[in-house]
Amino acid sequence: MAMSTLLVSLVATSVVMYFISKASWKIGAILNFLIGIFLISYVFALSTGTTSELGTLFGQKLQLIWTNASYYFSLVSLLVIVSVMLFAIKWLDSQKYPAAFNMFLLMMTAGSLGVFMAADLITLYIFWEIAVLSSMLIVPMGKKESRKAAVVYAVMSASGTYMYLYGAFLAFQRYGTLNISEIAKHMVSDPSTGIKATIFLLLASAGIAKSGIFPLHTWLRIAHGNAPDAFSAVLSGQLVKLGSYVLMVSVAALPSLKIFSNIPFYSGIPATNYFLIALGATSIIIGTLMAIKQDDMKMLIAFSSVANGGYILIGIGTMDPIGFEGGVLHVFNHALAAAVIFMAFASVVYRTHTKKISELGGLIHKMPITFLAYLFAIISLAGIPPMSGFISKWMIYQALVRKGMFITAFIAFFGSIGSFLYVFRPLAGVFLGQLPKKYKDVKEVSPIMWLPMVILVTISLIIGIWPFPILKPIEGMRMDFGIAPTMKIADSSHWLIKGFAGNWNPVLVFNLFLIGFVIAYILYTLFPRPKKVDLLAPHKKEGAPINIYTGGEFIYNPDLYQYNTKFYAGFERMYEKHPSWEKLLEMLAKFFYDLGEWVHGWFFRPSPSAYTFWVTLTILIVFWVRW
Amino acid sequence: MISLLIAIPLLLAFISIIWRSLSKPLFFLASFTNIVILITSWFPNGVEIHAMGNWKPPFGINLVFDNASFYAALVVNAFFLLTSLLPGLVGNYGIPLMLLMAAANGFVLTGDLFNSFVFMEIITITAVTIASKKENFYNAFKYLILGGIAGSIYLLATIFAYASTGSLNMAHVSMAGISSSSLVAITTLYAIGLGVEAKLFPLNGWVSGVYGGNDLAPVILGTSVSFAALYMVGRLFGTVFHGNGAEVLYTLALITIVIGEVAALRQRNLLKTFAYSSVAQAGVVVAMLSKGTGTAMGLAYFHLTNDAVAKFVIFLVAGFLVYNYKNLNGVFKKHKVLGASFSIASFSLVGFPLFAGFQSKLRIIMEAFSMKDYLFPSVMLLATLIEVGYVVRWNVKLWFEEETQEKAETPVIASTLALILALVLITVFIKPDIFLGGAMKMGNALADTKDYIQGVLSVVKGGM
Repeated sequence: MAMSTLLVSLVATSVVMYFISKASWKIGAILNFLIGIFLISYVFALSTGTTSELGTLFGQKLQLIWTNASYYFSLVSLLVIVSVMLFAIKWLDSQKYPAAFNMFLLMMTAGSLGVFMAADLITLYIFWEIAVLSSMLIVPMGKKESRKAAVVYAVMSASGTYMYLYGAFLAFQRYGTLNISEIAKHMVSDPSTGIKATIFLLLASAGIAKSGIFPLHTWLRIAHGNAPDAFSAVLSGQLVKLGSYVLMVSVAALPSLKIFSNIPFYSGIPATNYFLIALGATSIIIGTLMAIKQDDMKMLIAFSSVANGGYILIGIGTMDPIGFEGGVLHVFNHALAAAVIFMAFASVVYRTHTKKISELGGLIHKMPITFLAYLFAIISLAGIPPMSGFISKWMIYQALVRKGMFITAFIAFFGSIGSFLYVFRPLAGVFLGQLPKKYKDVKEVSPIMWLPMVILVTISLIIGIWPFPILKPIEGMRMDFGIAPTMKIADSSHWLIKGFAGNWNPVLVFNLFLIGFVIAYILYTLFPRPKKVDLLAPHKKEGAPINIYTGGEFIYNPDLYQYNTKFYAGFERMYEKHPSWEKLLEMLAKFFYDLGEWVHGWFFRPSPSAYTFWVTLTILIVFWVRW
Repeated sequence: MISLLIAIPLLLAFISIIWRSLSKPLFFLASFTNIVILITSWFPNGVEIHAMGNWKPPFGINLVFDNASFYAALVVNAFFLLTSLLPGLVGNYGIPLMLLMAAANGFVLTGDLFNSFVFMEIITITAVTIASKKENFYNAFKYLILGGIAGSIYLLATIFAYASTGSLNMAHVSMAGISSSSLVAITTLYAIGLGVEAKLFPLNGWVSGVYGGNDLAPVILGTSVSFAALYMVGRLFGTVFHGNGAEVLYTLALITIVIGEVAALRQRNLLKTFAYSSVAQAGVVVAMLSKGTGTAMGLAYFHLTNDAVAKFVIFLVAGFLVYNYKNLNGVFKKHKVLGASFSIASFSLVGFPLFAGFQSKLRIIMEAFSMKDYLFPSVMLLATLIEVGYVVRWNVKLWFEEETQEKAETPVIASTLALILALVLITVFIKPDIFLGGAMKMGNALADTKDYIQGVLSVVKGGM
């Protein structure tokens, strides 16, 4: 099937899916999942270089092309989407709009694939908008706050999108083509740096808005935090990667090193790229610090997505061979980790109906599989071996050190350590600690819900041990974009990833970890088990001993001593009174409201005599100007 | 033949004064006949005129039938036909609607400046009558005053034109050499006079009150009458005055776009929100018209057609909702067909792909860029950004908020009509030529002054 046929029929099928799901949402969800499986096989079967044509729009051909980048990004997206589709087969019974969810999820899949296949800027825009529109209509299916979230999401995404559109037409007006590779050629030979930089930044803004890079990052907290729980996995794991893709297009597919070779800023990196790297670094700081202080577990990971978007942008922005590969690999790692984490949270919310960390605790014994999935996902997210998350961060650090970018490197390390803090907060608050009384009957979710999490975590672990299958298309991408094409980084015959300061052997590391784990397990079995203390015993039985106390006082009300409220209070106090970017953007929105109020008051509300006055005044002014 | 377009509704309007109960079927008959007449004379591809009383132009009054006036008349009458299918909406207003239809057709077809003033006055008076439905008297009064002022300024401009050329015939005026200072006076006054009906800032104070005051006024005034008024902007500034005064229109249009969108953003009333949105869209159309080339004007009318179809659906649905529910939260859960049509129409308004608005908006931006105008696209995209804000807000509110009330009866015809038009919007996205072909012919006809003059002044056809 040609790519164009596939995309068009997917959009059409999604509408049919609504009516199927209206009859039975379960059948709809299963069909969605099967379509997803088919799409994965389709993606595997397609060979790079295949082109397809979608039609013509105002004399411009809408073209699709299958490249290494399309393969890689489509595969990552589909892994996340298909997992959520499987998850949804059971999870949807807790939702109010299952039919519309199925429809828009499928439509969004079509839109996302279209973005990755697009060979020109307008095709990219069309599918981009389809993906945004359909995802924007899923967001308000959540709780009450999600209504506002949808509006914020739509507006912030649109602000980036329309800047992109302006840039695309600016490029078209100057170079007479919309085809990305042809624009790249024209840009290299274009002498005007100002216009090139304008086009570059305008195109990149769509990616900045979508992947949650400062200053357009605030919608992530609101939208990812309030969207329907399982859909947050798609938002954070897949949709923000559309933004990373556009950033990659504007930095690498339009070869920024060549285009802006006349404005080097630092260590061979052009000023334009460095600007993006600075935004990425700011996102890491903001994302990390804000994630640490969230009590809402979904918002916490939403901010973590801001920080991780920063890593991806920094990696790609350096245009260093190893940094680029690290940034692109981080797309995969973060997609899988964020998807699993949000699905784990969705499972917790599915059972407990709350997403506040301070109201939860001790679910490890009730939901052990969810806990394990979450644990492995955060290990990957925090960048600890042997999970795959380590490899991409390691590669990014290599590039930063090699380029001598010490400030950025410092920020990246800071973000990494900060991520230990914030991923630990839900771990300790939700899964460890005391189990609140009301959750004593909570059960593990059904296999349909935990299976996708387990699959993704397993993939992430396998890639952590043997990353070469996923590094192959990334190396292919790097060759396509001409970033040091003679250099070889992934050396699968020696089981090595070659860095600048030393190599990384993932198999060896995994074996070391395995040995450590075995030793730890042996010690665990040799030493006595901890004793379980029932805090509530004194409440239940008169005269039962109170056998837990703190600060010299017995605890009569265990809920009060739940340590997951104000978890990092001491640390948070250090930046309690930070300036809020969200408020600043709210002020901007308020400005437009007030402008509307002012316009209304002056021109639209008044009496007929005032209207007459305005008419007269206009005549006078126009005459005065024209005479 | 073409004079029948004016004569039939006028005649039937007078007949229904005698048989009032027949006004609804007669209104349908009038609009249906008009559409049939127009279909039988599909795109004349030349200039045909109908000289009243066989006075050869430039003497006497003549009607001009070319691609431009044909397409405009087609759109105008199509919306009258659609309205006539909704008896609940028409109510007791069959007679003013027929008069409005006669006047709008006359306004579009006439080739005479004074005659166009007369038709404009009739449009204003009948439109005010329609605006006063549901006791919306004060807003109708505002409209009456503004419309009256606009009419007198339009008349003044016509007098100036007559004084400096000695003719009222548009073709004749356009070929006469007018001194530059009188041309400034004439075009300025026409810009202001038409600006009221074309909803240009700051002459559009009436719009929200009239469109937001009842269910009938926005449906017909926001579509047919808007189209007629904006047709005249293209005719006067494109054909007759060769783009003189275009910069005034351009400036006012850009301000109108921004003002309209911010006013729509703060608005909490559904009908008024989209009234302001139609102000902004009129700004987009006028800005494109002011460019004066055939392509630019054609795209402007393509955009206007898309906007009119979308607005018809939106106002139809919004009018039903506002007058049947006190609280609009989540009402679309009860009216899924209306809701889907409304959403499609509003997304088309924003210009999301899959819907007609995308085709016209992108083309307009592209055309503006190719004319090296970087300001207009940026204003338009900023406006679209604001538009996204309120369109999404309303859709989310109407679909997803908690519902509170009992279900009102679903209007079957209105739902069907809204759905069909919504599907038209999707079809236009796939095959833009449905609207684009006609609109481009219209734009080219408006830009081609030479053909117009030749057609009007040399060929005489018809007679009464």
